[in-house]
Amino acid sequence: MSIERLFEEELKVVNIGLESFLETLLRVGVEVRQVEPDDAEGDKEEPR
Amino acid sequence: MVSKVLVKRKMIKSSVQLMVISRELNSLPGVILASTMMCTEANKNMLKDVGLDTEALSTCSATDLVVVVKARDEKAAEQALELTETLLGAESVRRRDADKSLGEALKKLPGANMALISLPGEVAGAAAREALEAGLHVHLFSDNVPIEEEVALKKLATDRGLLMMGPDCGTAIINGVPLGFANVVRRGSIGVIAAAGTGLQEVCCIIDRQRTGVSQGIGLGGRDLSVEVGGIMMLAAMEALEKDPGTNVIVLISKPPATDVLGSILDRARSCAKPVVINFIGGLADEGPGDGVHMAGTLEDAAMLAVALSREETVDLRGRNEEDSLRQLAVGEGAKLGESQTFIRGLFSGGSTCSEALSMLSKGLRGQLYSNVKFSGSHLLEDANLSQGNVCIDFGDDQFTRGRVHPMIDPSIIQLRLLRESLDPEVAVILMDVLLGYGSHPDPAGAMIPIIREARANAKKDNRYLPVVVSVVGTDRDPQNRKLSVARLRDAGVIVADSNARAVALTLLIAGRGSDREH
Repeated sequence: MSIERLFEEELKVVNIGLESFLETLLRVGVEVRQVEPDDAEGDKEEPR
Repeated sequence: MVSKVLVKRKMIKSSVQLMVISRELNSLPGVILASTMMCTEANKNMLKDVGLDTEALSTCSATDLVVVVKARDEKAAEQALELTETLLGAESVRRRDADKSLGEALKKLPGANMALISLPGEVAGAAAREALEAGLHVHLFSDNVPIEEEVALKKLATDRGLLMMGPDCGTAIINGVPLGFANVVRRGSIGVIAAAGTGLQEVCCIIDRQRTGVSQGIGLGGRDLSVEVGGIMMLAAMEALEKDPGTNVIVLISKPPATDVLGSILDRARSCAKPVVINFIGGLADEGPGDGVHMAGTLEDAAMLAVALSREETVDLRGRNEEDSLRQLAVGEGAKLGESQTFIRGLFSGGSTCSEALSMLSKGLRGQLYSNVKFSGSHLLEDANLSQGNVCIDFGDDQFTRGRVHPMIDPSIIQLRLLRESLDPEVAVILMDVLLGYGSHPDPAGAMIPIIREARANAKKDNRYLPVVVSVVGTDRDPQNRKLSVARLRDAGVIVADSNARAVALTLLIAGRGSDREH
């Protein structure tokens, strides 16, 4: 799918990681699935 | 006010866990400051300087976890510590309805078109590749992804006609949907492409305050215009917005690009069928732009130019930062300063707001300017935890976020530094940004107000007046509400400027006692 096509579509998001972003997406009414891989916690690294 | 320090021996938690704990503690009623950090020497010294040293703290080491809580009363402080113990002891709980893999999610959400990834850096790149290979556009929030991996991901994305926003992309607004740290802005016809997260936020929010709107806010990550990455995604995003019927003006925001990359970006902008506004924070404002390309000196100017172009109006940007009312305010504030009060101390959550301040201060100050980040016109601090001369600190930089939470979510590192700066008799003005929006602290202005009061009280004890100048990046529709945040800050005696650029200009004027040149 091209970027221009994306701009014409409804956003449907797969959120992989922080739940606070999932909360935002649910709050603004976006269709979203949450993915929590088994190793999502990682070690001590900051995710940003 | 009550302060408590809790030391947990030999306890190492992931930053994801620290982020959860920090968000919970900072949401508790009565909690003014809550910080979780590893007990490094620098952190110990910082806590000691602001009177938070305890016997347990003096004997702890870098493998111990420290939790600091400042609360309105004993009950609130105790409640926060109890919750800390509970959260630290809790096992990670998977959401009942969460999927274990991207493939599983895609089966349940046919037509998914975007992956928002915020995993630790060492696994984030692989997750982004998997998403691109599945045909999804990607917003990669995570940092600590090697630059070689970024180049490979962006090449893969362009081969497949996909957006690859990031790594280290803090914010985006796609089809009106806020992703990551993002503000609630009107939809409109201005497309913003930014390799600078808070720069994108500041520009979109100023556009919104002018009652105009944003078609798309595309984040790129701060390295897109480096030699290695070569502006791959900025060029792809420009191409897409040029074709987008919903966009009639394009804004490009970035720190100054690598010389080799600058030419290709400017060439593409000049050949674009739509007007392009460019702010390379701190660079090239006077560059001969060419037809249809407009160079802006500040983030605010970029937003105002884009608004004017979208309305097919002209705008005169000259002199807006030197209004008489600002100068009068600065003369009044400057007159209250003691002779020893010379230096500006800028404490920033946002990298772009910090860079813009460095750029403006480096042109307006005679005294030396220092920072924890490399920036032309300023010197690197020997120790980012110790100020010298005029200083702008980017607390969102890696050196402050490794093993702790980003200051947009947990501002305690800035709160503690503010208290420390208030004890320095050479400080003339404090300059700060307050960033609102989804993903950020639930009430950053409210968190900062009691600490600003305490800082000013510290100065007053020493017979000093300490002005604090703040810009609030946000909109009235953000969950924290900009209008209310500004009103509360002003009630607390804080000088709130309409933009980061104006806050910096005002700070210069105050420190110069009403003169903005060479003090």
